[in-house]
Amino acid sequence: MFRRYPKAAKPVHDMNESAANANAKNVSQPTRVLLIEYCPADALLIGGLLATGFTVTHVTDLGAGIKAAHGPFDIVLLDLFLPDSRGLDTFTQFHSLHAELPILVMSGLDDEHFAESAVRDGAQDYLVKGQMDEVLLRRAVRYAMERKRVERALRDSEAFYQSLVESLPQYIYRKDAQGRFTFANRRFCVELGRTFQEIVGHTDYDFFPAELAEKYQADDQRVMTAGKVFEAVEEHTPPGGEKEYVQVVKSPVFDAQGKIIGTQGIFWDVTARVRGEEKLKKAHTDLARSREDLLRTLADLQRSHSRFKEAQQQMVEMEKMQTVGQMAAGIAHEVKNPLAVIRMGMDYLTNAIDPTSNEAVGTVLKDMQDALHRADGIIMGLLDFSAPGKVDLRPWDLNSLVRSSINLVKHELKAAQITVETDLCDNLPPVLADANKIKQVFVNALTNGIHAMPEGGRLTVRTYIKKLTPEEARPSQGARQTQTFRAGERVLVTEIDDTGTGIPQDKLGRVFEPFFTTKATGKGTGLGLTVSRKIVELHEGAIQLENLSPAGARATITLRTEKT
Amino acid sequence: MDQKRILVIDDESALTRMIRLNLETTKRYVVREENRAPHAHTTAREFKPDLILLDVIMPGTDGGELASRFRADPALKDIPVIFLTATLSKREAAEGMINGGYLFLPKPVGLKNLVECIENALAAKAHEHKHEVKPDTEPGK
Repeated sequence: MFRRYPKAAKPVHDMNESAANANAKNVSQPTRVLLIEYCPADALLIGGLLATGFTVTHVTDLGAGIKAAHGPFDIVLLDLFLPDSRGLDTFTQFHSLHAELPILVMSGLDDEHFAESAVRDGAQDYLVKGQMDEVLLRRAVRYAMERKRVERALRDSEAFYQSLVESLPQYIYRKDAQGRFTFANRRFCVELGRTFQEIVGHTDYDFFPAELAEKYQADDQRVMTAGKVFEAVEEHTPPGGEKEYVQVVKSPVFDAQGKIIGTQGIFWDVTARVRGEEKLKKAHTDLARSREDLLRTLADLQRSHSRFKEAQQQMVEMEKMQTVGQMAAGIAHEVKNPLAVIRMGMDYLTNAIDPTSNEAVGTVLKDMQDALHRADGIIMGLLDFSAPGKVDLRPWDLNSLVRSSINLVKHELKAAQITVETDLCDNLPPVLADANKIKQVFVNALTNGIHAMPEGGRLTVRTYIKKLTPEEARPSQGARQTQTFRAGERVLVTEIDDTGTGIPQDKLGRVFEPFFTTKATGKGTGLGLTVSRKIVELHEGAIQLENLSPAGARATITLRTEKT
Repeated sequence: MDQKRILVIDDESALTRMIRLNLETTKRYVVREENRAPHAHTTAREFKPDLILLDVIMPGTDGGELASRFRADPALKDIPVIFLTATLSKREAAEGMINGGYLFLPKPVGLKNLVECIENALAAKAHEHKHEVKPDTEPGK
């Protein structure tokens, strides 16, 4: 049975109602009330109380009420005692079918406890018949609606968060201050292999090995004490499984007063990421190692290259030397034959014309003979260079050889206004040398010094003995030695320093090449140092040229002492 | 005086001429020049020299080859040979280079030195003959 009450011409709103209603619906719309009330007097009373601002639809039993509730209602006023249902059951039935509607339960004075139960089970409020007036009823209606709206919003919000928490791919839980689980999302439950109910109220010790549980609790404690978020990547190895990595974020849970009442944690599997990082790191290390290998190989290559270049240069020099040797032999043959003709011719003339009969003829013949002798000497020198070398090594006093060599160039020294200072070490052991050949080396070095000082200067000649360091036992640029000295070997050193122009640094490596000269035309043949080198090599010694600072050059000739 | 027959083999005709003229001034030698090495063997057989002065480096056939041919020829094998060479170094010349039983003289050589060497070689040969000693055991003495 439906009974409709007339719509109020002007709804009455007090401030509270207005505020409570403002969000629910448009203020100009009357509130639609479904009144389920068997007692006609009560129905009439209520209808009267809600005359303005409400549209009341009245039914008298539960069945009709349940049916009517499908219509557009804002609130249901439900009497618990109906012809087809009594007591709390009335509410339960209705509520189970129309949970979305706010319900204001009405009861008599003596069955108020039913009403209270209904409120506990989801009714928004209750009113005691005979104690309601217009203000109370209207306010109760509005508040019930508002409460329902808030409840709904809360439920929506809860649903929202729950859906979020349940659908996130992370494991989420909460614990109280004692470390008991108060919440676990589905994923976490599945991970532990327990239901939500089996987890809540329990601690880590119920699910994990003691050692691990202890660690988790310690972490929780730390978060609670510090009141800060704790973040870490933790590793664990499940029984029989591979090592896994988990990113963990634990944070404190605060109550409304800001007091820490527990912790919550989110964790998720980062094994793939960590493995990727590890792989990347390894790849990086491998790359660095490869790079090192590459650099080492490059250095080896460069070393081989420079050794190869050195060998190549030596080969070129050897070829040059051979060429020079062949040339020398060729020149000797070609020049010596004409010289032989001249020599014989002069002998013939000397016999044919009596030189004593004519002084001029005698002088001319003598001059010619001298010239011939000089020319022959030059050719002989060339042959000396090209001939396969042999040295006659005997023990000699090095200082005597040096003094004798200086004596050989004394005219040149005087002509060039060069002074000689000697610093010759006494009591040197004998040097193993071919005296004439080594003197040739000294004379050559002295002559080079003289040529480097056209304006005059000073030659310093010193001799000494020394033990070779490993560094000195290796040849350096500008040095020539075939037989490598041993470190620690005692050698005799002769140094000849000049105060001249020095050797251009870029030419230093080439000075021993045949026909290489830094001297002006006519001053040098380009063979002096080449021959010197060959001689020193035959002595298994070393010869080295270097520039001196600020000016001048030094020739260092290192020779072996008599072997003991 | 019995004149010795000297064969001078060298491709340098001016030199052989000078040697001939010089040796002839001593009146002790009859000198024959040969400037063509390939003909030298024939010339030697025909001239029958007492001593041969032989250049080392010659076009076609060199002195060394000729010397071994002479040694292989019974008619020539006992004739002393003195090499004249332009490729002796100062030291080798000073030491008086003897190689394979032959005496080497460096060019240019003076007449006095040349005559000395020729005479020594002839004397040595005469001595060997007398004692029937093989020619290359005491060379150049």
